[in-house]
Amino acid sequence: MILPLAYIPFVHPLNLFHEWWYLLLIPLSFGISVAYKAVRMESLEGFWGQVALMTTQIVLAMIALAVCLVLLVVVLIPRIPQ
Amino acid sequence: MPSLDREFNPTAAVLAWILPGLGHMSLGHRKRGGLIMFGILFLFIGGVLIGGIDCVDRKNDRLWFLAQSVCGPIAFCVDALNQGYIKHLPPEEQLQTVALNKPNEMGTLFCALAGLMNLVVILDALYFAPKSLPPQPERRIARPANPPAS
Repeated sequence: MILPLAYIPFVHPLNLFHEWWYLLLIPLSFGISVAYKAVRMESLEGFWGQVALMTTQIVLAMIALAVCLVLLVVVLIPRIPQ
Repeated sequence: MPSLDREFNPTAAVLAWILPGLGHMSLGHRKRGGLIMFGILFLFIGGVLIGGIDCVDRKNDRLWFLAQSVCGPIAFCVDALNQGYIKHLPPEEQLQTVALNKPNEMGTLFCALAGLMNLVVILDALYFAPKSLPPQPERRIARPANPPAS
């Protein structure tokens, strides 16, 4: 019999995200935006506003890409004559 | 207008690899370096938190590790922990410590993106262009005290 061990952060994986994995896009794009904007901005005034804007842009672009892929796979490809 | 003069700083690039953001701090941009450090360590530590230390694996995920290793010694330390601890556990305990499916993929992706963002940071530190110029004194046009009467 295998007894489950208590959760140890950084050793055991977080199993919360098996179904909701796509929500991780938000922290992923946030981290990328912080590093990118810190390198690229001339002055750091309004830094967090720019980070929020870039995070939103990445998330919306990914949603738009997903919608395009769904349209391609569900609508367009079935209409191609065999 | 910002200056286009770029300085070549190999020391800053090495420092940026050792700890993300340290290169910019060594160039005098402490706040910028701190923000870079926060962003990249947020991605890397977030990835290890989601996927566990198994998501940094030099032997089984060699190509992913190539990107993750740009994060610096922290990636090698996590890999050493993985090789020295997880790989030596009995199989039934490994089932609980090795991430499967999405947590493994997302953890690996977070750490790899942290490494790729640090590559951008290293290149910026290597060929550093001053982001803001020091304030320039106003130029005044010398005018004669008593203009000649025409």
